[in-house]
Order: sequence, then C-alpha cells, then structure tokens
Amino acid sequence: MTEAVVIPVGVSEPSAAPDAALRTLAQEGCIQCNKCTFACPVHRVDVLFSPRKVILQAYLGGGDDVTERDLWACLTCGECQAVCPTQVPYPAFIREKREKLRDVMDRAAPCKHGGFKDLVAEIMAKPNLMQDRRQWIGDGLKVADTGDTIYFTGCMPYLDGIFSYCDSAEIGRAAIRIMNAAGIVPVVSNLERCCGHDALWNGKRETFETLAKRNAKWIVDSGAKRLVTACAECYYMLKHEYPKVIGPWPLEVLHMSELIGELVKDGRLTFAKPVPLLVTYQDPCRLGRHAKEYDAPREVLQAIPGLTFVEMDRVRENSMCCGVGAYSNCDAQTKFMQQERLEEAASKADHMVTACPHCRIHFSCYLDGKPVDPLPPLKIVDLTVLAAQALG
Amino acid sequence: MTWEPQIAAFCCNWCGYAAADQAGAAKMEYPAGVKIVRLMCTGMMDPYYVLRAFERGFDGVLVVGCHVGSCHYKSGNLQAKEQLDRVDRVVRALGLGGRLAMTAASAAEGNVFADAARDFTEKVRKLGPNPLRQAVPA
Repeated sequence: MTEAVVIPVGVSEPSAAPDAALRTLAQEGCIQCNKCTFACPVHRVDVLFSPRKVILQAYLGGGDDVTERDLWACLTCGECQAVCPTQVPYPAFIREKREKLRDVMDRAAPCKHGGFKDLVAEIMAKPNLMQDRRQWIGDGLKVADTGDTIYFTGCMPYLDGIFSYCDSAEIGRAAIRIMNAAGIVPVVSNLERCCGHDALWNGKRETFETLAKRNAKWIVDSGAKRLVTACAECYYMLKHEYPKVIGPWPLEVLHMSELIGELVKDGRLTFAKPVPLLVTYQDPCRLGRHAKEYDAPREVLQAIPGLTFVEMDRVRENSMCCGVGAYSNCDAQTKFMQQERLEEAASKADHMVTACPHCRIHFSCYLDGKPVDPLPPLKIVDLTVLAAQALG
Repeated sequence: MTWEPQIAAFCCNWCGYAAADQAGAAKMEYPAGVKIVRLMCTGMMDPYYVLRAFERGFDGVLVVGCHVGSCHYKSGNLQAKEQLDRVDRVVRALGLGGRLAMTAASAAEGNVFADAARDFTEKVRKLGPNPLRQAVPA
C-alpha cells in the first residue's frame, strides 16, 4: 500500500519556504480540491494542464518542479483564483515562478510575433529614447503638453505597426474625442513609455521596474491631477502594480469607462446619437478579475441610447479569457478557446464589446483567419470607440 | 575617434548579396560601416531583426532585395516591402524615422549596391548616432 501524499496546507511560517513564489502560494493553503482545473480555460482544450497539479509539483519538488510547458501555458487570467475556496493567488505564483525560472529555462519566454513586442518594451526601457508617438492623432482633436488630465496611450501607437487586421489607433482618437467633447484637453506625452505589463507577466521584473520608474517620473513631474487610459492592462498596472514599485500616486488613475461614467453623471457629456446595435460585453481579465472593475463598463453601455445590451452566460469573475495573456501564449489550442467564447457571444448578440485593446486584437485575429467552426457574423468593438459613436 | 554610421545591411542571397559580392569583386568602394547579413530572401526579414539591430546600436538598417518581378521565390520582396512599411511605423514612433530603408539591386548591379550603401550612410550621418546606443563614441 502506498503512503498518502500530504500537502502542507497553509504553511505556518512563510519565511521557512526558500522560494518567493512558494511563499506567495503558502499565504493561502491549497486544499487540492481541483476546482481551479475545471474553471481553467486552458484545461478545457488541453486536459493535461492543471493548476492543481502544478501546485502539487511545486510543493513536492521543492519549488523547481514546474515544467516549462506548464509555466507558459498559463494565461494568468485568474479564473482559477476566482473559484478557489481559499483564494490561492495562482497568477501571482506563476508570475514569480516565471521571474525565477526565466534565466535557467532553455530558451526565452515564448513571446509570439517572434519576440517583437517584448523587444519594443526593452527598447522603451532605454534612457536616451526620443519617441515620436503622437502621429496617429488626426486633425480636429485637441491635445496639450501640460494640463490636469493625462491620457496614457499605452502601446496603442505601436500596435498598428504589428497588427494589420485591426485599427488600434481609433481607440485613442475616440478617447480624445470623448474628452474634448466634455471640455477636457488631455496631455499626450512623447515621454510616455510602455506600462511594462508584458515584461512583468513574462518574468522580466527588471525591465518592468525601469519602465515604471521612467513613467512615474514624467507623470509626477507633470503635476496632473488624474491619468486616464483606455487599456485594461495599463489601468491595472498603473493602479495596482506601480504603487508597489514607486509608492502611492499623487494623482487618480482612471479607466476610460470610469471617466465616461463620471462625465455622464456630472452632465458634462451627453450621448445624443442613438447607436442601434445588439451588443454583449467581454470582461477583460486585467480590468475585471485583476482590478475588480466590472460595473463601470456596463454603466457606459447602459448610458448609450438605442443600444441593446445582453449579458453572456459567463460574465464578471466567471468571464472567459480571450485566450492570450501578455502575448506569451498563442497556439492551436488558443483558437479553440476563442471559438468557444465567440460562439457564446454570437449566440447572444452581433457585436462583442470589450474594454481592452488586447482582447480586441486577439479576437479580431481569430476572426481575420479561418475559424475552427463556422461562426455567425460577429464584430469586435472597443468600448471607447462605441461610446464615441454615440456623441454624434 | 570620429563616429562612422554603422549600417546593418540585410541582403537576399540571390540579388542583394550577389550585388554586394560583385561590388567587392569589381573593387568598388562603399562605406566600411555597412555590415552585411545574408538572408535567403528578404521575405524572411523578420520585424524582430530590424528592432534588434537598432537595440544593439546600429544607426541604420538597409534591406537589399531583388527587383520587383525577379524574386527567386516569386513574391518574397513584395512581402518584405509590405512588412517593412508596417515596421517603419513602429520605427518612426520610436523616434528612429529615416533609419530604415529598402532597395533593390540585381546580381549584376554591384554599382547600384555600392551607391545605395553610400547614399544611405550619408543620410544616416545627417540623422546622427542612434540614440539607443548606450555609449556613443565622441
């Protein structure tokens, strides 16, 4: 008879664990209930992948037993943590593992697009960079060099150079249009760097910290009162990860949906033009499960006249991931995940709204190629772009 | 030591590289800062190569392929053109506008390669050293 395996549940002294990643895990005790595995979108397409198994291996193997495949297959979407009875921070655990194992792995993180996007972030961390990142701003839009409100564009000006199948700059133009309509002239700075999201989640903490410090410097020096971004990843990073590196912000960090909600409530912004569309909303993991902002985007959708908004079956903390996290995992299995989510969306509506430019890119990429199974016509729209349409 | 523009020249095996070879065989002079990397076809010109060259401190990136219609693989040069036009948007946003160029030289056009190398080097010289280079020689 084999001896039963005992998992050290909730290790009493976190400092006793030598590995930082294991400490993260030990703050809560995994009870090996396997709920995470059945919530995991990766498990549905790859039965061998199981967060529970990874945790078990991490404990038994002294912290070095997570295989490279398991390490990079995780989307860090946080669906496992949302259903976990003891709230084991699995995405944070994976992130720390990636940081630790990045140097000893056979090859670098599998950034898709041949490492291009990772390299853009690396270049942004260089000191003497003189960017010219405001080319996408068209005529008739007002931006300033100084002011109370910063519009943090994120990697949006760079995305158009990589992803030809979707116009990412239209999100930026829509955001500026909305702010201009409410009498705000936002600051769009050439000093802005990448927010460091992909660097941090792909295990390059050094790059992330350099970027965070460089960004914090110009943002704080500008003396602005608030910072707005239309990207879920930038919002989560600036609001929740930056203070851990640079200390508390002297300004308010807002997602575009929060700003629109505030402006509508104050009566500074009115949606005059009906937008007669049937839409559903995809919760981006960084805005939803990571930053816990579920209501603001829905309030914006409800404020748009003529719009019919229906919820999908899996929403809020149970929302399904777009299939790619931090551009590190996209393969044939991703396509099955995207097919599943898009089928769900198409059964409810003909437009899927998302508040993250990256969700939009990943879903548009899928629709641009050849779907696994035929899909009813479905369009992916960004929340900010949709709101700008209602301005008339 | 004076600064000489360092150019990464990505040449296709069938035209660009042969042209560079011909330029050498005919003893034509072109700037010594032009460093040649041979690719089978410019169609395999990964956007990553362009950014990597800049990240490593090259002052310019020149891509030399076949003339339109004479690609050894039918359409590699056209694919490269399309790809590089897109990458150029990223390069310009990074403040490196004008440092990426594509040209064509057939296998017999050593002089075209040498002229392109000279002209591009002069163009880059006007732009100054790559700001991404950590230590710029005085």
